[in-house]
Amino acid sequence: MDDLPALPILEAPSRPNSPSPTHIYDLPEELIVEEILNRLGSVDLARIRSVSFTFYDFSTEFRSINLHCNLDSYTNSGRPITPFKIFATDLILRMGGVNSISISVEERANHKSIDIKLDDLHLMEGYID
Amino acid sequence: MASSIENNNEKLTLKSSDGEEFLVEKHVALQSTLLQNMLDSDCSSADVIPLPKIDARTLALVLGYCKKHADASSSKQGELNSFDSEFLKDMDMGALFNLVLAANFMEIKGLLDIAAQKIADTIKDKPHQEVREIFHVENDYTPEEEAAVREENRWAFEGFP
Repeated sequence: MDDLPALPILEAPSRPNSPSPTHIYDLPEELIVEEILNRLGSVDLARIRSVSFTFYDFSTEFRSINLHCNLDSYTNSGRPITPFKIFATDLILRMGGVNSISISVEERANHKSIDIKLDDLHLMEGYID
Repeated sequence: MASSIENNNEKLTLKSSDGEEFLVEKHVALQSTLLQNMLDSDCSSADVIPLPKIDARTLALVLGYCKKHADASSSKQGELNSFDSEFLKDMDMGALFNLVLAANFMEIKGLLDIAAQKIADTIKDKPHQEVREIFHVENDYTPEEEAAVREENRWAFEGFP
């Protein structure tokens, strides 16, 4: 090994004729689902079902529900909000094999102006269109 | 071979899928569990270790990450976090996908985590139409099918177009 000629180290070559960029569908489904989409909350996952049939299929692979109470969704819209209970029930019915449900809330310590009624996170009550 | 692994001055040569060779210090290469296992099991007796799934551009990025993390002490976690953020900053989606594939193949968990997280952060809280653009994914729904899927998950679109 000591006789090897000097070689480039950590230098990316210029490749003007390089092949087309790697596409998300070039990744194994396992990597897309477990390493990338698994880092999203369930609301994002439900929304990206509308991206394509393939993404719809990805969304059926998950076995856990992660609901995050985003402060902006309450403070910005002023519109009726679907309660978490509806989210969770809908997801359970569509996913089939749910193993866990996790619910979290965005830090609101510095947001004193929030309507006190929001403290229940709309887990059980709320308004549906 | 075990004794040679302890010698940080030793180097090995990695060869990318497109034929570029990289001379790498062993302590840098050991950031990869795949390479570590090869060295441990004496499978790396060849002068050059081929990495047929990783092109030169991606391998250069991977080794840059490995070198930084191998050289930094554990007391410099903040510095490493800053490096990681800067490392991925402005990286296009194709390069991120290549990094995910390479980190997965070479078993570099830290790199896999930050690259996958960067991709997830890019589409987080985005409308599905924008996700299509980010990933260059064709909409293969008919308008009626798309409307039906959206209606199924109406609550997920609150506040979205």
